Amino acid sequence: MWSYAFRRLLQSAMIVLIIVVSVFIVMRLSAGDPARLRAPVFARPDVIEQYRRDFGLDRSLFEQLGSFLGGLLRGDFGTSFRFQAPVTDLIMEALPRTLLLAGCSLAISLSVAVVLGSLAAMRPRSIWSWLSGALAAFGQSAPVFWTGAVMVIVFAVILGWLPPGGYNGASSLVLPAIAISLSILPTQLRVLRAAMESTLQEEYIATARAFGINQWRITFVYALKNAILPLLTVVGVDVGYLLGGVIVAEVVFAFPGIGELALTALKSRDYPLIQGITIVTASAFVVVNLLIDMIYFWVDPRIRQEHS
Amino acid sequence: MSDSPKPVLEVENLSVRFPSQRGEVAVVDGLSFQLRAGESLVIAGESGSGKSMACRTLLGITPDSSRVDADRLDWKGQGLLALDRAGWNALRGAEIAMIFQDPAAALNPLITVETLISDAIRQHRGGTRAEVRARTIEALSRAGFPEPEFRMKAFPGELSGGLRQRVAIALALSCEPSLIIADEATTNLDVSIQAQIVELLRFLQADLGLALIFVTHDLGLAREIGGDLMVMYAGQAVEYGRVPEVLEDPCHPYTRGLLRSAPTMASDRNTPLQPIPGTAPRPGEAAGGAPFRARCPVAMERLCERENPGWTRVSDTHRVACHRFAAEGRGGVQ
Ligand SMILES: Nc1ncnc2c1ncn2[C@@H]1O[C@H](COP(=O)(O)OP(=O)(O)OP(=O)(O)O)[C@@H](O)[C@H]1O
Ligand SMILES: [Mg+2]
Repeated sequence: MWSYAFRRLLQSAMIVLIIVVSVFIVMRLSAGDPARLRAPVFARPDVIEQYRRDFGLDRSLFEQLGSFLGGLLRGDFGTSFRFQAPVTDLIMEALPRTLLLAGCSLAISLSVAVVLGSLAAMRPRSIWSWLSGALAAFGQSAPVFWTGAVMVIVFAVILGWLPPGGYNGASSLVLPAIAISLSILPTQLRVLRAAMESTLQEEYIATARAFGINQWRITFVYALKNAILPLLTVVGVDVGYLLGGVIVAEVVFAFPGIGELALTALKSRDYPLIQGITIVTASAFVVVNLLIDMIYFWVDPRIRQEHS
Repeated sequence: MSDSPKPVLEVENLSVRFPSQRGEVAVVDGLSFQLRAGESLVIAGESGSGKSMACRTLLGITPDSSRVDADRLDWKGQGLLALDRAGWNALRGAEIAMIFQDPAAALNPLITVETLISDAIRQHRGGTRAEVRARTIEALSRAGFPEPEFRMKAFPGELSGGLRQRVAIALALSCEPSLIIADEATTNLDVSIQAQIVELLRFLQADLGLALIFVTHDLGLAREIGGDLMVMYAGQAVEYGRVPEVLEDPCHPYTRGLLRSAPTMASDRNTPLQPIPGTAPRPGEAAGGAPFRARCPVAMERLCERENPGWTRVSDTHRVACHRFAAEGRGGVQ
């Protein structure tokens, strides 16, 4: 177990390193000359030169990468142009909110997918089956910005139950989390339902029935352990999609998270900030996939055996 | 045997039908048999003859698309077909337990041996954690599962085929049922383990007074088990009698063919095996006449095409469903 975990950890660290280097190089190639961007519009060449020296841009690319990596190791992502504050602080302020939002969205969609998908598979001609089909179709066709806007109008403007945006504790999470979870739900629901349908046909389910095991325990323990594995894989693949949804939702709901920060950074060409955010989100993707692998390992003895 | 007067299991005219393009087809068709406590019934027949499906009706676990009918399907005088879900669940495992055909498929890969067996015990017998654990260990050791205290934490995939089979047996024993259905419980095992398992089942039967239904392809094993033998073909019973009677004096051409093709029949050591020519009919194909007619060496052209033979009495305990036998006796089916 530990050697497998260690190997996967090392692998993930390598991937993160590759991400960091690629982001650094791509930013240098595409962002234009940051000194020119920051200096006053009609600055004299020697002023611009001064800016270049301040940003360390007069050194070789290799040296710059070295000091950048060194900074990262100390948790230093550089200083934001726009906010004149350490990128690390800006990210550390926004990231927990975004993680909370993403976590809530994922928790909602996973619970709905598991409960509704299982019920639909268990009772193919029931209201659950219909509801799961309807919800999947709806989530598929309604983009986050649309559901988000509609929910703001209905629940915030007309009914006044929830705040339309901003961040004021738990109530600000409800609408964006629902909007995001609706967008990631369809795939999860379909995958779980299909997996559950085929699992319920398995001979070992007949065995459980033949020994009088309660039908709920059969579905939600015996079958679910097997049917949830494909869902885990989908979640790993969908993290990118989830992040996209989170960014859109943050903009729609003026939710001060990483997505909104990223948008501000992009608009003001704040490339240290863009760089920091890109690295953090990409690493989040790697970490989530690592976690999913660990969960797999923990749930499925066949994988455990393979690696022992 | 006659010391226990009332049979525990009474089956009359049992059939299982599935919808198909050609309308409903029967995969089990008009079975009747009885079983007393401590007695055994061997069901033999080729693959696809409906043995497993017939057994599944006794637990109410035929596929959702199936239709089960019977004039009578009684367990200890209680009609099974009228049971609701709670009624079935009270019976399953506790009164009637099944050892499934293929333990690799019948054991959940993600549930440990301990959880599986304890769940069944908790469902039917209850008790404290320690009691359930003790019962689980007891069932496993009865089934010859080595070092149950340590090894019951294993997942089925971590066990050999023989051990998995023992887990399936332990599960069947765990709630002390009155009837065990062993659906080819030994088919996937090597001969030596096969013999051990048969020995174990016979021992348990004698020890606990179980009724046993033993399903097999292999008539050689029928001799080991004893009791009654029902030979099935295409969902129907074609011959029924005490095991030695049927094996010494097979009266149906299909039973004779089966005996000639069985590798474990000791009497046939010197003669080469003769497989039955042709293939088994698909469900519904054999309807309307004698089910075996297409492959039968002594089929009667008109009669066997048109009419399903009824039972002909051979002795008090032995009967056969064959037009040729009814018309000409043993000489006709030689
Ligand atoms: N879900 C189903 N729908 C339709 N027909 C089915 C279904 N399941 C099984 N059958 C048919 O029922 C027939 C009897 O199957 P069964 O499993 O009882 O055979 P068996 O005698 O146990 O064979 P084996 O020796 O291979 O175990 C087969 O012809 C099979 O094709
Ligand atoms: Mg079978």
